[in-house]
Amino acid sequence: MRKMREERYDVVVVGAGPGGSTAAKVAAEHGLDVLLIEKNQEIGVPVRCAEGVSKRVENFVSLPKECIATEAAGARIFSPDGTCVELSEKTARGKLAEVGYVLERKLFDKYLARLAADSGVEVRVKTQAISILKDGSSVKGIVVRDVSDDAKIFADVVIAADGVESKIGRMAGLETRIKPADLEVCAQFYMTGIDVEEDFSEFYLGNKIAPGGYAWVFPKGERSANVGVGIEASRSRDGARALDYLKAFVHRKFPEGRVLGQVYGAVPVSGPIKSVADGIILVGDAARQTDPLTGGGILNAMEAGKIAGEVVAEAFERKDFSESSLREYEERCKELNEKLTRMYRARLLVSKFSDKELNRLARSLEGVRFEELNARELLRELIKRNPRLLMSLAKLFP
Amino acid sequence: MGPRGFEPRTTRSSAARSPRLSYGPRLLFRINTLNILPNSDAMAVRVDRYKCGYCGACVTVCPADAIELVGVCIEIRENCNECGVCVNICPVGALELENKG
Repeated sequence: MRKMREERYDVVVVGAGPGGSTAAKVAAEHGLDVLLIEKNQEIGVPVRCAEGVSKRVENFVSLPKECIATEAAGARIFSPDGTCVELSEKTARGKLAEVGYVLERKLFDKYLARLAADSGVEVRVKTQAISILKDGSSVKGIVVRDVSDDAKIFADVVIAADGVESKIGRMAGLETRIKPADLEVCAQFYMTGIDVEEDFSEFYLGNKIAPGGYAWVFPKGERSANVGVGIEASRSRDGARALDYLKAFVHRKFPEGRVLGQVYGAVPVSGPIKSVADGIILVGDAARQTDPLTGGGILNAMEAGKIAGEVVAEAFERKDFSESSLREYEERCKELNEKLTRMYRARLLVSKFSDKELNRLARSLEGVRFEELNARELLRELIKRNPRLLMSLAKLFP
Repeated sequence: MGPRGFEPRTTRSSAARSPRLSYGPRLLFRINTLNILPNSDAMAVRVDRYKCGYCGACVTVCPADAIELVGVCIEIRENCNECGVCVNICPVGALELENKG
């Protein structure tokens, strides 16, 4: 029979990913009493990520060497017929590659959690949030289950950074469910013994390669890489699942490779959702803050986590944890959310392209020198060279 | 395995193949995802734990909120309405809609 303990913290953070750990750290730095729980036995494991991140990550945290598996100087995007668009430091003046580092998420996540712990956060692993505590409509904490006991954790604010499958938000009445058209399902092999250029992260587009998504090759050490495929969930069916596409891609591209690891994941690409209610804030994948076009989520989660920590600290000064007080979070995430919404529209546009159109667009970029190495810059250049794209965008959103 | 065989297939979702669908599969699929049909005793979603990669995709799309990811285990609760959304989207095909019993 499980005992039920009762405990009290200022803030409880659910999920020790980049978003949760950052939020917990920032809240603790403002003098709050913070508990960070992680349902898995080990922080950062199992990895559910392709591990690519922009070098902007260094604006948030200085990375120890062991967290970085590979540094890529650029990206190559391949259209279905193999036309290559290269974004590299050689062709661009800027140095902000969409995938600049390939991380070791196992170590990266632990490092961020360690920073949180060093700031005074109490961290507990193998501790699952099983329900929330409510007082009327307001969230007052969570019930957790660990190896020995159940515990009621009372807290003025719950920060739910519980990932793509987020349940805490749902329990609090926030709609976090996603329709299959707004979800990418992914399969990835960590492969070795393959010919990869360590300097480049590669992206492969095409409806036969990855319908509604893309395939990627992110170099990870010598002759090794994360090789994965993400497809739009609504286009997944028996015989044409993410894993089927990955096997086909690998069979064609790296028949000699050996698989040392398998990773499966789901990436929300719905664009931002309502992320605050009385006594609760959603952060990261739980708040659908992943970039709908690229699927990247680490930096957005860290940015939102930082904002969440600050907003919660200010809410404590006001002693007001209502939705209207916490709405400051959405206010400060406005820029991020607007970017996500733009990328959502871009995604709708791109996912409608036929292979023929993708080839044509890729060829239209021949010889372009990019100012900056990111998806936004790429889109801007595409629209400049293909003005009719703007018309299709306008048609999507009258 | 080659990159062939990915032409769109015409078979409908697993839910649509269930024998109790007499209203026309698409309509029923819609209704069922709205979670207003009573549970059918005939069908159930099962997880093949050997296949499951615990990505959480099924949890995210489940309209009935009936799937839980605990550590590396997927659990399907009683309130599952057998809509079959999870069956289709699973990246590895670990979920199956099958007859009970």
